[in-house]
Amino acid sequence: MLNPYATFDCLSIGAKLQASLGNVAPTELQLFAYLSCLLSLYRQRPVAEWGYSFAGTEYGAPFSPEINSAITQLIIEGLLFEEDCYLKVTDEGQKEYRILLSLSQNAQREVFLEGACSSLLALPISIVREALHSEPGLRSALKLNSTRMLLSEGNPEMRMLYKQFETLGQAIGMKVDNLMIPSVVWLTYLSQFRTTADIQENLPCQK
Amino acid sequence: MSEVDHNALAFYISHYMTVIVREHGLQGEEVLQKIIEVVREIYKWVEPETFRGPITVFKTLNGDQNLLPVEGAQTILDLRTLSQDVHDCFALQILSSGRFLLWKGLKPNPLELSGRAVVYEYRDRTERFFANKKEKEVTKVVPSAASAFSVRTFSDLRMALDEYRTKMVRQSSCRVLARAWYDDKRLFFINGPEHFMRDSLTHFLKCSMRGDVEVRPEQNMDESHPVDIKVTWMCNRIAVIEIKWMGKSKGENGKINQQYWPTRVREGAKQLAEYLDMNIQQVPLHVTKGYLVVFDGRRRTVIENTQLISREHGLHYQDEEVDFSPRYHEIRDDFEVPIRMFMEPICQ
Repeated sequence: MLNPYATFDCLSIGAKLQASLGNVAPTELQLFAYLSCLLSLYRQRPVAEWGYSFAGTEYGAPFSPEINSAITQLIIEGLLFEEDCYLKVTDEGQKEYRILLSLSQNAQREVFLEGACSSLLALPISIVREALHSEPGLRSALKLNSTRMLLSEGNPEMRMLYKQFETLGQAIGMKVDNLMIPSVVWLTYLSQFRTTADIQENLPCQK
Repeated sequence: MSEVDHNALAFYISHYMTVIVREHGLQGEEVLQKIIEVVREIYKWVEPETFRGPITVFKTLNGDQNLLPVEGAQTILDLRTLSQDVHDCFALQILSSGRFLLWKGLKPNPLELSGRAVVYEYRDRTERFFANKKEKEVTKVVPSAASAFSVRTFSDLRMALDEYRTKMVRQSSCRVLARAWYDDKRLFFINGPEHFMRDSLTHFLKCSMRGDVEVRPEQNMDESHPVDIKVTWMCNRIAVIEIKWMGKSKGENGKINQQYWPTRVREGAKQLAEYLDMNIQQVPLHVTKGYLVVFDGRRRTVIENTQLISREHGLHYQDEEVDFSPRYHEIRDDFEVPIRMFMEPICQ
């Protein structure tokens, strides 16, 4: 059974990244779905409301089985097209995205997806990827060189993430409409912070 | 509060986006995103690396206000025309109608404008935003890029070439490139190794460059001027890559048939400068940049029957740069610093 939220997120993120990058890699769909989920936490929505879960891989990348299954199914249905390891949202896929967007539960998540993808206006995708390696959960997976569930309430990484968002909120304000702003400010900090932290901890730099 | 949180808070507070939101509130948020979108569009057609500036872009907060004398302005609809219309500095006001007011050669005071607008300024590879008399520099997350908002074309290519040098060339790790060697110890090239070098680099660039970009080997600038690789972006950017090699090559009979030294590379630089001159005439609307890539397989005291080499002799040239004269990369904006890629032998 496909997860309807993951299906919508794949089409929405795919359409947005395709507009700015020309195409999208499956790992980028995973990355921006995760960033969108983090922005929903910044807005103080419970993690359970996101609708699907993520694990952090040993390479410090987020992975959701629901997103993975949605990609496979969307390719089978002709809504995504695979070419040279990259995906494109087909015309049918764009049409489906617009239809799904009209549903209220999807319209509510669109603000997070839009905030995450708009970060590419101010940051190159390589920086977004590298910055997220320093997000507490992914950093921990990378450091321990093992796959772990992300965003589990009560674990130390989650507490650290909430603390980071609290500080971010103090600086910018929780009520900021455009989530591109906290996203870019936070990612820029992580990308700068990572350099020193990596030197101290001798962590490999993932590209 | 922990030390890290304190540092983070200080960073967040001083970020240009935070300052704009703090100074201009919700209106500032909307205007900021619009300005970034427009600046990105401008840089599709104007290459910031070739501009000293200032380039000033602003949008007023309450509708369209005249902050600069409109008499000197020209209304434009399509930012593509900037590739022809502007040369060093200009100011652009974004209007609500989707049109723009352009002042060529104008250098307004951004602080003065910032009371009733959000203002972006680019000046000699540094970018700043201004809001309500506050000024904040844009953090350079990619140090090699002239602008954080430019289409990643030339800076992406330079990064890809640096990566290619480290990952593929140094140890001849690319299988295609490995075929350029005559012997297992990598002392001599085969006769005419250029096409393996070109194919290896073309393949690497095709795999590593993202977006609307086309990488093609051996493109003719005209009948007598082929370039080794041409990279074309769908916006108006072109990179031409000229490949030269240094070292000795052997023919099938095992005899040294060619040996190239820095003189050959200097000739390559001159040739590339000539391509670029010709290109300006052929495609004046495009921004073109030339790249000289040098595969350096020089070894010390290697003669025809040499089969082994010491570390000292094998790596003798690894840090010996080519001295160019003229130094095109210093006197021309369209000539990138030559990239020498030393290829290690297998030493004793």
